[in-house]
Parts: sequence; structure tokens; C-alpha cells
Amino acid sequence: MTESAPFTKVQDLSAAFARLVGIAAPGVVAVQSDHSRSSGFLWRPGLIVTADEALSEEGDVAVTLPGGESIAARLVGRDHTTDIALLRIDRSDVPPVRLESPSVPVGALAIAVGAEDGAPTAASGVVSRSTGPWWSLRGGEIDARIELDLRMRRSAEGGLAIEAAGQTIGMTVFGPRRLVLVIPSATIERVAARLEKCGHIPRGYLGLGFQLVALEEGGRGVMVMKVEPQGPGAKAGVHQGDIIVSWNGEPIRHVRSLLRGLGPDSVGRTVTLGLSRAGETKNVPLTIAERPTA
Amino acid sequence: MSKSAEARPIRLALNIENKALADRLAALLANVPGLRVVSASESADVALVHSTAVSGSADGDVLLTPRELEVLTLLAEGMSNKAIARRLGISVHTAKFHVGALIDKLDAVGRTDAVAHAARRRVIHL
Repeated sequence: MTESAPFTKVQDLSAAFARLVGIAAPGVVAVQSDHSRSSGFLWRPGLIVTADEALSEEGDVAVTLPGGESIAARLVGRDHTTDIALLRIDRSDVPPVRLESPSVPVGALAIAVGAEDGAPTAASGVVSRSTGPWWSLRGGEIDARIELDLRMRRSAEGGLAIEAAGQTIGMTVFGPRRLVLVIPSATIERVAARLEKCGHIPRGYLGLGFQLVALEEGGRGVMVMKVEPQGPGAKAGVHQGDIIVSWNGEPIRHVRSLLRGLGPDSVGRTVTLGLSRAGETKNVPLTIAERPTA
Repeated sequence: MSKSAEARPIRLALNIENKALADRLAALLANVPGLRVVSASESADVALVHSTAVSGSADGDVLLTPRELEVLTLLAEGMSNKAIARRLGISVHTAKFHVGALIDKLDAVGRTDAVAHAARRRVIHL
């Protein structure tokens, strides 16, 4: 074996890294909103997915395409529960990114590709955690918990996470203490499609205020502390002081279980609430409404 | 550890208010080898407490400020930073700061049921 052989391998590896970034970069754009710079990617022709958290709440939004051309973008919709926002540009010549859901074991190589002023940016590391579905603190259902052990610049948030074969794992966002999380492709497809169709992600609404209480007979229950007049709960005949003990027959001991039942598809659905009232249990049907926008 | 220390029975205290439950446990544990249920006045190696009491005391290590608790409740209701800002009469920037600090804090102590934590102290509107 010659002296240079190991170096050749390192060079091959280096070239492979650069090639991976080169594959992803044509679909990654820089996103500028008021006081904020982030990244995004072409999801479908003329439609850009970006990180909701990094996008300003107000003001104009512009994107810089690969190559440096800056154009105006319009907000189609945003969902802060899954950190996904959708933008539209009047251009259909930028090729969309192919989202895939490769299996990403812990320790697998991952590259984060972002964009700044029309030029790609990159960071590399490994998948530091890869587990099943989870719920964000705001109640969004995210299809997999994928964390990356890499240091990512602010402007790359909303860009792509790719694995060693060049497949797209999802969108990079910041979690606690600037930990890099991936919003997986499956979540993006589901949420972005809904945003494109109706501009927002509906959320179920009961029109009831709850507090966790310790029950006389032991354990915990969820007590109704407030009933919104004309709300779904009021219409179903729920009263202040009732304790919700079951939801479609499933026992309820946590507010969390209620939250899980109020996802985007819950609106319009009728559920059977088991109520404990003055020591007696009764079932009432309740039709879930859509939560008014706050 | 010496052999004699290993042989000494584990002293177990039953810190349970519910008398019937405490008596049942005491009866069940009375004849377990290597274990001795001690009276309230004796010192113990370990203690049995109500499961609700454990989750209650575990809340202590989160140490959220009243403002953070307020923000946590609004987060659980699914509000955006903008909606939280409007509700609390603060700027979006400040709301974002509170949310970030809260998430960092919860992550640091590994709290996964933060919503339940908020719901024990505040009314959550769903």
C-alpha cells in the first residue's frame, strides 16, 4: 500500500460530503423576514417550506434563490405546533426537493444544508437520537424524534437534513438550548398539504377550562372549572364542577390525554365524555368545534 | 460494604395518610425476609409514599416563575408567540424569550409532563 492511500480515502470522503451538499443545495433558499434570516426549501413548485419559529410574525417576506436572485414571498399558512410555515413565490422554475423518510439510526451521518444570500451553508454531525412520534409542547404531533449532534448557524434553521445516501430526512429546527431537531418528512408532507389547502391547521375546541384535581377515592381527575357560554361543552350540558373521567370510554387522568384528542382531525367529531357529577357517572355526547384563533 | 451490613434488614417507613391502605401494606410486607416495617418514630432506610405525593414533590425541582407557569399554560393551549404576547401584554420578542427559557428549563430537568404540571396550578382552556 502506498503512503498516500489513506489520504485518498479521506479525500474521497470529503468529496462525497461536498457532493451531498451539492445535491440538496439547488432546492434550498434563504428566507428574510423582519429582523430574521433563516432557510427554507422548495416543497412543491412555487411553494417553500420554512421554520415557523424563525419567521417573523409580521412584515414582508423575501426569499433568495440559489444563485442570488431575491424575490418576494407570500405567507400561505403557518403552524406553530409543528414549527412549519408555507410560503408561495411566483416562480415555478426552481426544482422541488424530494422528501424521503430513510431510516436514521443513532450514529448515522447527517448533514444540515441551509442558505445565506443565495449560497449554500453546511454543517455535519451524527444522528444523536432517533425515536418514535412525539408531541411538541404546543400540542403538535411530530412523526419521529430525530436529534442531530451538530452545530448549526442560526440562518440554517428551516433548511434540510440529509443522510449519507443523499436522502432528505426532514427540516432542521432549533430545540431546547439550540439543539438541532429534525421535523421529519412525513410531518412536513402532512402539515404543508393542509396549510396549502386551508391556510391553517385547525385545532379541536371544547370550550371548557380544566384543572387537575386529586380525587376523593384516590388518583387524579380533570375537573371542569369554566364553561364557555355557547361553547361545545355548554351545548353538551357539561357543568362547572363536573369531573371528566373518560373520553370515548378511555379513562382520562391527565390533561395531556384531552390534548391528544383535540388534533386537526378532531373538529366536527362527536365524542362521548364520561362525567362524574356529585358522585354519579353519566355519559354525554359532545361535538368538537374548531378553536377560535386567539 | 461488610457482610453484616448487607444482612441487616432494610427499614421501611410507610408515610401514607390513608390508614386502611397503610394497614394493608404493613400486613403484606410484615413477613418479607430482609425487610422491616418501622413505626413513625424510628429512622428508616426507605419510605413508601402516595404516588400523587411523589409527583407533587417532583414539581419542586422545576421552579418555574409565575410568569413561566402562565406561559406554559398558554403554550399547552396551542398559542403562538404572538397570541401569548397579546394575552400577556408583552412584546413578541419577550414572549419568545419566555418560551425559550421555559423550554430550556423543562429540558434541563427532563420534564415530559410539563402540561400536567401547569394544569395542577392553573386552569387550562381547551
